[in-house]
Amino acid sequence: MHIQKHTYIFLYSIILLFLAACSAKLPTEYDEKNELPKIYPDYAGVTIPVNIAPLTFELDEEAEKMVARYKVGDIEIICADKMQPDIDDWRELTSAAEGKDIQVDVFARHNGRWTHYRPFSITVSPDSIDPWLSFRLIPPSYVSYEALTISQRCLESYDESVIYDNMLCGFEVDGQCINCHNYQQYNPERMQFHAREHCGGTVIAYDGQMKKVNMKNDSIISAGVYPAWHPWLKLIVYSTNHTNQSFFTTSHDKIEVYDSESDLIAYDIDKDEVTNIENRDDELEVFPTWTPDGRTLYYSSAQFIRDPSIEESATDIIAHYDSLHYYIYRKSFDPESKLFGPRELVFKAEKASALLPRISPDGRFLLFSLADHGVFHIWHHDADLWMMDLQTGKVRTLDEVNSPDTESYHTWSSNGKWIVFSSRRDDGMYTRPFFAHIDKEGHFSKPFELPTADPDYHRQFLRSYNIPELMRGPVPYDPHDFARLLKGDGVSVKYVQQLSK
Amino acid sequence: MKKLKNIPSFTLPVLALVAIACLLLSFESDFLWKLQEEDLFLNSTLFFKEKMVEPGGFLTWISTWFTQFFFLPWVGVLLLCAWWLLLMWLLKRTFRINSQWMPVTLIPVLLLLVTIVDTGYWVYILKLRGHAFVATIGTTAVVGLLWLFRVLVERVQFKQTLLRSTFVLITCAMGYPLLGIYGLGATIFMAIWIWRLEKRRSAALAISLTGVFSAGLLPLFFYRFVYYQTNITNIYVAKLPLYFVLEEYFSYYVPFLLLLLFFLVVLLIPNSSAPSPQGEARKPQKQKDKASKATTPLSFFREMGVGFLISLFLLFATAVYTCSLWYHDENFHHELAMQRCIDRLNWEGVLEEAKKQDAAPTRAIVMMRNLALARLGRQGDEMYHYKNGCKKCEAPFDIRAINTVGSLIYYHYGMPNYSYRLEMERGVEFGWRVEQLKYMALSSIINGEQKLARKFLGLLKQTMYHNAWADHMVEFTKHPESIATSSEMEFITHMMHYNNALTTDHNLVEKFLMLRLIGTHYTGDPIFMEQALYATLWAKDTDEFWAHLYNYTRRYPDRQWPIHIQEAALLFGTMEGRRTIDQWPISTAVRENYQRFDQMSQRYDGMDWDIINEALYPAFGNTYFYDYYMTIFPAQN
Repeated sequence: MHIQKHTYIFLYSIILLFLAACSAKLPTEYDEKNELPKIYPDYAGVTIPVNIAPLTFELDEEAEKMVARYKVGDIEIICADKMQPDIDDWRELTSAAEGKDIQVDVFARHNGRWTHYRPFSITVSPDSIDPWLSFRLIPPSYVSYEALTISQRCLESYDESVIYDNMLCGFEVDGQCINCHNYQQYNPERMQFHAREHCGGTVIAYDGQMKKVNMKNDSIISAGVYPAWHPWLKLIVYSTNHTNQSFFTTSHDKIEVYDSESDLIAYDIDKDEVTNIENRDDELEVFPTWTPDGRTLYYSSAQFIRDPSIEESATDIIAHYDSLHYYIYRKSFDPESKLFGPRELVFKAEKASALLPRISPDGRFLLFSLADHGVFHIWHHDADLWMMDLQTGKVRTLDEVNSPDTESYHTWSSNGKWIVFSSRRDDGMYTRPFFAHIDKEGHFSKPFELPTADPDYHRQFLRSYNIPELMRGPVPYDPHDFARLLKGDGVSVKYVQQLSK
Repeated sequence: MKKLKNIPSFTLPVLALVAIACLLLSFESDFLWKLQEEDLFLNSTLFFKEKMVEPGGFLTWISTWFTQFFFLPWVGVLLLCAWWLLLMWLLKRTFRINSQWMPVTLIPVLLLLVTIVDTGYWVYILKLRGHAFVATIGTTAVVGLLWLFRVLVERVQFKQTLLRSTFVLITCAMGYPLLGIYGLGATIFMAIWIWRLEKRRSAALAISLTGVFSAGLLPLFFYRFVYYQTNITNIYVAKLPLYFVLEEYFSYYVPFLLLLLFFLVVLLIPNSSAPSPQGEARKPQKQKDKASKATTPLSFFREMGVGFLISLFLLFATAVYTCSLWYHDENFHHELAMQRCIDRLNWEGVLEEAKKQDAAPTRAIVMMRNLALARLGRQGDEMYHYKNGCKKCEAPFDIRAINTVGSLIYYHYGMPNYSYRLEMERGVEFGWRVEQLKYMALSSIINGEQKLARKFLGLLKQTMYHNAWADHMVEFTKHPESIATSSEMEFITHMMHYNNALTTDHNLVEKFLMLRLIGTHYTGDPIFMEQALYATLWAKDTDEFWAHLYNYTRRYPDRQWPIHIQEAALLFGTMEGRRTIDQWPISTAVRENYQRFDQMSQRYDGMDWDIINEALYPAFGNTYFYDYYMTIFPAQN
């Protein structure tokens, strides 16, 4: 009987806790403080898409208790301790707030007295965002890798699932690295990723058909690395890279990743043909991307003239790592003949390195990442997002988006109203996806971090979100199907001087 | 003798457990502490979820919870012994083991003990979290499930075959995700045991087949539809430790196989202690016990029966086996003791441990000892007063100083980038541990990366025994200006003057550190300059020695040269025929000592190294003269 009583009390407490979480009451007596509350993630003044998952946050300072309220008209959500709205309540709230603001009040109790911070607003944009985001989850390590997953997350809820996990094929010394997932026009049924080392190869899935491609060939310097799907052709352009890394003894950047060689190749998915499209000896070409009309290829390239007295190219690069500056180029492309035109300089930074060009779906803006030097900006604390208006040629740093820390990998939403980008602003090391809205004039709103069910999740999570890519839906393939494919032999590519029509 | 007879059947096992606990606490206290440093339990939902993505995740989760108590080794040992006592009690109940066979219940305990005490250097690289408790809790769970199975068989009399088959199926379906291989083991044991518990062969066959098929097929089902983060190679052995470094080390699995053998014997061999089919529990033995009237030691043994003697023999054999596999490498234990002292900033403790050194030390020991001397400001006068050496770690696989103390050394010598990187790489490869989070937090603090430090400290705050430390360290992130005056970090701030270089350490922590010191001619800090000078002694690089000594003397003309620097200056000066040598600030004692060394070494000129060493070491082993000529270490650390 005694045990039963305690069991009931325990269960009752649990139920109460659940009910109390978001049915708390606002304090009636409090002091006003004309300061914004310190909350994590920082959602003060952000703009969010109408279809985003509930924004959760916690107080980022010591307090006995916190109570917060989301309010639009008569609809309000009040939560205690952590702001974790129920998804149905949140939907009701955002629907009512579409095109308007959600008012946010935060109260904190210190030494028994409540404080009401300066209220702030969250703007709900009627522009929706592609509902799924895929990324690689990887610890921000340097050489080692063990468990890696390419995962996908529904942005309208907190649902997350594995697209492929390298442990399905890799084991101990037969480890497998996976990277560079990419989609044709946000289509989750048309995707590709690479597996390296054990059972290595490039996996290409296209409308339910899958194949493994062995892209290594004597005529190219490596298998394909950074991909760019043509918007409609079954054609992928890759950079091929010999990538190395070295470590700083004292610099805060800690590591420098560099290519000792790199070129651009084009791969025809149906014919398994591959050809070089840029392979100058004195240039390091990387990060290709297509314009939405499929008629221009953008990429970055750095001039590097080898010192003949230094035998190893990696040694040569290390000696000049801080003078490696990548500029942005483009080449015309004829989808009929599959011929590329000559290269044309688009952007040359003064003593800086511009990488990862990405063209907005309307073809107007060129978004890229810029840092002092080098090719791998995710490890450069000074890396920021920049944008060029291709109509006017004006280039500007995105001050409204950037932080004092790294901003690097970025991509546009399919409707061109949002960007998602990687940032290390939280702690300088662990990359998190951030989203920002762009208006017609090309101005961005204050970015917001990917919402999570528990607002503390990203602070506890020991992996980075690598290569955030938006998708129109979830990838429909089973991880085991990818594993089975990878365990088999790949199709070898045929090198051609020019892709056949 | 009557008193002996009345001793409860658990007396011997309990006494044995007390003995085991005493042995563990006497000889393995540092190792037990290290077990929890190389493990991690976080009181968070995310931690629980991350554990549950693999078969047997719950077993890992609960084992890591228990492992954290080794922070206070006696608490951890007490809990471990409590589990073992529970295991023995369950064994007795489940298999109705009578008094004469009670000693055999200690056999699985000893085998479980072996899986812990044979760990040695695996402690740094074992990927299984909660290793010390996983096998114990898993085995206990197996016996507990078998007990439930027996109760079901004996007491439930309706729809027996269906119910028993269902129980076997549920054991597998729930046991596998929760307990990994132990869930499968319980299922298979039930499939075997039913042939002894059930008279009806057809029923036994049905239940047995249920067990065999569910144990064979359910892991495949889970692999296909539930667990995407497990390789198929691992699905049937989930939560067994993986003794693999480039190759599999099979001998470490033998205790597990013997454990399996033990259960097979208990389940299969008909003996007087086994339960009778259909619940006809044996009572005659009890009556016999009551009726016995032993009066002499011989009659006691006679009364207890041959079974007692056999079980004692088996126990003795297992005990011998346990002792033979107990890892007692001197250097391994010195390393652990030193690491524990350093964790507590007990630098004198490190030197006390160094004095106990008998065998040639590993470089990890030498480096930690020199660090302690440096922290106490005595390195220049005493670093050759201790045993020197470069013995390889006594492990079946290649493990180096960088794997054992790399991050500790890098951190304390002011190279936070490399300390951080090392722990990050280890965390990724071998799984996150308390030690890694601590060094990543510390490295971030002294590197000025306070936000990053707070991330790791936030995680450590979720631990039971490291939260106070984390709270203390958070203060440094709030007040970075206090780092330079704190007792734990002040020395390190003196060391952070290396030239920035883009390079790599090639897994050679000592060589890399020494060469970085030698390559940095910073003159703003006497502590850094002294360390650079000591590095030139290590490298036996006379040119760099003079360059650093010149800077040091010019910058700090009033500082007395440490004794070993005097010895080096005298040695190198003499070798190079420097004329001003008499004017240098070298003490008479050092000069006289060198003269004696010179005379003696000339006397032994041309003889074997061993003979010369035997002659020189007693008198000059504590000098740089001796070190320069007599120590040649391969650059393997």
